[in-house]
Amino acid sequence: MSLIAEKHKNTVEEAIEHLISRAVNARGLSGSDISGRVWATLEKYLLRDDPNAAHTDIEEFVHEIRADDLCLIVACERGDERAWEDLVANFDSTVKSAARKISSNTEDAEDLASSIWAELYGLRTDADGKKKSKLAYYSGRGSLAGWLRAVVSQLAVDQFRKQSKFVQIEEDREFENLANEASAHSGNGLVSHSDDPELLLVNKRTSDDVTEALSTSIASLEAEDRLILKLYYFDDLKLKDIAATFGYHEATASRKLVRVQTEIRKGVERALREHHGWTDGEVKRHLSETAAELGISFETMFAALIVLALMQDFVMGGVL
Amino acid sequence: MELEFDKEIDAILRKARVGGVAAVRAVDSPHVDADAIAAFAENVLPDKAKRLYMAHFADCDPCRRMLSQTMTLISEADVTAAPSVAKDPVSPVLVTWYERLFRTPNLAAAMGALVLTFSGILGYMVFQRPADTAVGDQAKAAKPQSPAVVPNFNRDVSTNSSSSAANASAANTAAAANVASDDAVPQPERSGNIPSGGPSPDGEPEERRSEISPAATPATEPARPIVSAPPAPAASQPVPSDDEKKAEKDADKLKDRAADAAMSKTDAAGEDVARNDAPKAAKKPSTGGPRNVQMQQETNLGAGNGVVENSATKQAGGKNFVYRNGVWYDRTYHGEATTNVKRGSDEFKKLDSTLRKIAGSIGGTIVVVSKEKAYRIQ
Repeated sequence: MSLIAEKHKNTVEEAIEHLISRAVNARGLSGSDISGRVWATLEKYLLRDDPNAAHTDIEEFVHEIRADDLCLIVACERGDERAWEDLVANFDSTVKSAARKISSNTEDAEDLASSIWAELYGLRTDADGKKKSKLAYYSGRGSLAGWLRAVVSQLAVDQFRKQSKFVQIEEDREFENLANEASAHSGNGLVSHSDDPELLLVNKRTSDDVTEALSTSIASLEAEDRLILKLYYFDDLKLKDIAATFGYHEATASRKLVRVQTEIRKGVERALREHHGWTDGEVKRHLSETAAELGISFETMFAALIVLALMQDFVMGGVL
Repeated sequence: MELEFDKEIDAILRKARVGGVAAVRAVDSPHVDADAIAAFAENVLPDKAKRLYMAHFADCDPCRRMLSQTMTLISEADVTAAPSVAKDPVSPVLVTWYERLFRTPNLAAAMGALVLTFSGILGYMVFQRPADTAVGDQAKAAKPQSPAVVPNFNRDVSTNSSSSAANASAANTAAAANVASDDAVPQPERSGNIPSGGPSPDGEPEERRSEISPAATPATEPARPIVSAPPAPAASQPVPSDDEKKAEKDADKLKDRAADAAMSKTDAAGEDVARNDAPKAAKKPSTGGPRNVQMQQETNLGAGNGVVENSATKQAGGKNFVYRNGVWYDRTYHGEATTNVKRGSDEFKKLDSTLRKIAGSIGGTIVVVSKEKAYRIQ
């Protein structure tokens, strides 16, 4: 046992015993049955980033673990049939609902839900012959329903990644077609308004400068501001949901967003002036024109670009 | 200074999700697992861990998209779960006091029974009223209509002599001392005791003195109800039947016995009171001419001599008289021929003193039977 663990051993053991006593249905588990899980959670979320955490922080951390959900999952891992029945009975609707929202049709949703239960039960075995179940990754820190939704999302991406391997070429071609169409079509406000090559070149360079300044400005934001901006503008999340995730009121999230917009504007203007030699008048005029001129074709290009980027990421990186 | 929403930057950020801006960035740190994503989305991570994951999500687009999708699923689940929580059957259902009232078992039957009960009570009251009203009407109709019936003790003078005779009190006695005076000295108003009546139908006591006893007031002699039916106003009255006569005689006997008992006690006192009150009575205003005065005096006399009056009968000299067609008939009179005698005439003076007293006590025309002879004294 590490030094950190030795230091907090008594505190953790007492907190684990209290956790068992808090559970409405401990399912016959004892402190020793869940001790390993609790220690892993402590290491992952608390002690790794704060080795010198106080005893009160550790007690509070263990106290906030959801006792009933954790005992249910641990009992399922140990093969408790009654626990499995309760898990399926209580959370099958959650899994199916999440699958329906992610999938494009009912069949895919049912397949996805079935895959989730298979992954949870652990149909696969490792090299030692032990069942590989996703249940082992649940820490009890968040709710079991939230964890299941996250698992559904990940599995959906995995399934999409597997399927996309077969259509990768087609999507690349589609992206190329979209790009050619965007560059050649006269209706594309961003790229071209006329057939004048010089004018086309000027417009393109203007847009590129703005895009680059925008990227630079976003990168200079604080992590929280950057995440809020991306969640709101790139992922189309509501301020209410963003505020709930960050733990403050929706009005606070709105004020933060406005502050981010102000910083973005300052950063873009500064970048255009300093890095691209624009005057103040040019900055104001071109920002207005850019806001008005950005056309629909870029949304289509963006969607294709996102799909391609996702494929590349999941193939190269893997998520789990 | 409050910042304003920047519409231009907002439009640029919404529209320009170009590759340069939203370019997929891969980070060196490992991707976030489902447990961390769920914990972050539910805001249950410690502060330090939260900041670290926040930095990763801000730069790692795949993990950020996973996070945003999980946040969307959680948000939608919370929205759909909100009404279901309200429908939780385990939660206690608040029952208001009026709902509790209507949950009383057999409330409908109880209410129906109450309605029936009250309806019965109301109906009974409604039906009882006409009956009472009819009885009251009959009682009113029983009183003689031409004379105004005046209650007992403060006897008012009426212009009609018969009315004064009809206003017989419940308990009435003949004034013993005043009866003795043939001068028809006005006698004070008295509430008399029960007059002593003759035991025999046609008999009349020699001297019946129904003393007026102040003590013999309504307390001892409550007002008597009208025993007989009131006389018809204009039509001729039928002769009372034998049964009626018998009943009247029995009642008279009872009255006589009570009057005798009272007389023996209050004889002397009544005389004194009668003498003292005589001037007062004489001072009473008259309502008209000499006849009226005489009528008034006769009335007072009758009262003072212990005439028991009620609305249609009188008792005097141990006899009972019934008022019919303006004439006071002796109950013992059965329609035989009468001898007409006028008051003050020689023939009147020849009459028995008892008859003269009776005539003096009862004003108006009387038909009295004495010694198997009927006299009509006018």
